Amino acid sequence: MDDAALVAGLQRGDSHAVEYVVQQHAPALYRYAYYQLQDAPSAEDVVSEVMVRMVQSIDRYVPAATPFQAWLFRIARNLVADQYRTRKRRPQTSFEGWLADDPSQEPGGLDRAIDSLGDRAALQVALAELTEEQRQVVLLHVVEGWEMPQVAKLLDRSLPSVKSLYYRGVQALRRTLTANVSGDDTRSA
Amino acid sequence: MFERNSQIEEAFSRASEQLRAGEPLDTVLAHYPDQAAELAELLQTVQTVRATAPAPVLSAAALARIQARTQQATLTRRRGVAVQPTRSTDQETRVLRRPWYDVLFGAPLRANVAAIALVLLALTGVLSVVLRPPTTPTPQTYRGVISALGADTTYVARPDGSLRATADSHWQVGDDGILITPATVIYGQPIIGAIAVCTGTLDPLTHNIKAIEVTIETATHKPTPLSASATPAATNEATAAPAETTQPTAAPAETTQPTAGAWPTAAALPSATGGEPSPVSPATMPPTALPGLPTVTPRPPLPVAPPTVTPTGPGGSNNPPATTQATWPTKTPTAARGPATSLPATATRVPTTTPPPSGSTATASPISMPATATSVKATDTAVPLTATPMPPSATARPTWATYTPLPSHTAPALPPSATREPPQTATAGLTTAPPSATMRPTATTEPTNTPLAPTETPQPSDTPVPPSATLAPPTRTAQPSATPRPSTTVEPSATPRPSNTVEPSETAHPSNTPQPSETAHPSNTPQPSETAHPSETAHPSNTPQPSQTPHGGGGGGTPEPSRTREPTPTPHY
Repeated sequence: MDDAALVAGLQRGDSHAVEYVVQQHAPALYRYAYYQLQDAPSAEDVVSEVMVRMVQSIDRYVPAATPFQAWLFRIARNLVADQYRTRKRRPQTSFEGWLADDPSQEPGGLDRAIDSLGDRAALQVALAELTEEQRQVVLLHVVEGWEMPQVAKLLDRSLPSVKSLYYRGVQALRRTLTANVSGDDTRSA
Repeated sequence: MFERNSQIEEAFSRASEQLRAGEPLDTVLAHYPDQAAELAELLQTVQTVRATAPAPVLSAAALARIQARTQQATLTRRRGVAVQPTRSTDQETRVLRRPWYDVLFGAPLRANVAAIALVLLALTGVLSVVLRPPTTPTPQTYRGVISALGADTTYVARPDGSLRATADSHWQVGDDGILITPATVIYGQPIIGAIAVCTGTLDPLTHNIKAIEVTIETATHKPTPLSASATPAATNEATAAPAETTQPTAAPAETTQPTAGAWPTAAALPSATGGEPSPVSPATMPPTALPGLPTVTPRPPLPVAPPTVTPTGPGGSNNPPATTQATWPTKTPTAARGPATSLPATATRVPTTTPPPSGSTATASPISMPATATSVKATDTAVPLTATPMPPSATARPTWATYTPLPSHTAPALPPSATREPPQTATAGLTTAPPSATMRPTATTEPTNTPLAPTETPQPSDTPVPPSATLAPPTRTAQPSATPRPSTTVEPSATPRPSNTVEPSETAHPSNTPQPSETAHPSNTPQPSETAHPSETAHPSNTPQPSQTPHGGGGGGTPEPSRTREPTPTPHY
């Protein structure tokens, strides 16, 4: 279903269109929110709020101006910003929380998860060291697979500036991850 | 440095895209041999993040909650749209929520058209008022006697001979205020008392007339004296005036007399006059009138000039006042009657003349005649008696006399209305002279005389004529007796007075009235009343009354300063 048809269905209040949107975009929005807020409940609230606002504002949406997905992420970004301003703190997610929020956590898969626990934690820490914009670019481009122009549009940035953000963000991640690895090696030695 | 960074950033971005596209790391690095070392580290980090990155998965429960909430929001939105109609049915809410323009454009077509039509109509009205050229009042012509000129305004002659005011000036022309501006063209020399014909426009705000052109006519009527002398002056001059006017004065005196039954007697007069009230011819009048009057005796009130005249000579209508005067005094003393008192002059005369008349009508008539005849002049003459000094000055003012006389007559006589009644009176009956009339003279002129009035009233009683008749009588008397009637006499007197002439009938009455009464009184009344009258005569000074006579009534014969002034306004417009 293309954006135009989806939007038309939403404007009519078509429940199928609504269901489709939720199924199609909620997971990505959740990940985005989750990476930003580092809190599963807050991320879920953000996704829920994004969907409600989307329904309420669908009449004002102009398809030609912005891709529908970018429009949804812009709403999510604004909500995340509000969350930051409200909490005035950086999200601190406990390991237990991380595990609890991971739906793939199953008793049978515990071993595999345990193997990757170190890398994830390191990555979590490394991502937390990035600036907000660097983190958004890295996550959207690397994790979510967005094209650079899409990311630039979402962030209202020029393409070169987004590429620069991406480059610097990855550099920062590498330094952090390398440092952690070397530290771990030193301690183990 | 920055250039290098941008190059590596660009290479890293492209290599990352290739890596994400599924190309092996080595292949990708092969494309960027110069930056391969740096890019290799970065691309490995990207692969690590992509592989290790926790893929937070939205749980099914969470997804269901989000789904449910979103659907609810959709339903709410739908309801909002669906509910809208319900809300719109609520008129109050709708009106409150509707914007101002919705009231106009949300209404039915017909209402819209009507509203637009109204608005257009209102606009048209406003525009027509705003754009209407100022209405230029059409110039009108006003005529009147200049009674006041703006002070400190000088006039400069123009090349064409007309004058131009150097500054705005306010003139009082008649009852109108005239604004003279430097643009006003003035023909003639502006003088107080001159007649001005003014063409100008009326200012609706100030009610002043803005003169465009003013033409000063020859200053015939000089109100100056009037205004200046006012009441008092009038008295003095009046005397003189009467002399000139002669006739008018007589009238008043008559008025008083009419009361006296004399009129009936006067019936005899008619014979003299020939029953013509109009006939002014003094000669005729005197003889007849007097005779009857004697009978009426009670009517002394008429003391007015007429009697005085009488003495001069019945036949001679115009007898010099002096003569008359002489008679007056003499008679006055004789007459002791109350009524006479009221009309001293008349009374006085009567006596003098009366003597003979007392007997037969004929006799009376002669006497009366003189009175009447004289009346016109006699009255005036009589006045002189009192006002003695009058003569020359009075004479000098012919015009003045014209004005003055009226007032004096009027004054003594009854108010304008009364005066006018004369004509009726004539018809009614000469017999009685309206007490009121009598009264007036006295009252008006001199307080002393005033008493006469009351006395006079009674006189009528003397006269056989009924009271009612009495009232009208004065006038009537004159006419019936026609002959003697002052009316006749009056008319003559009227004649002399141009302006007064207008109301000859009135004049006549007075003259008539008095005479009869006089006649009657002669014996009785004369003296006392006369005495009083003389003083009245002074009023005569009111003489201006003579002029009044014309107005109306000379009947009263009593001089009224105020009236004297009346003339001024009357004539011009």
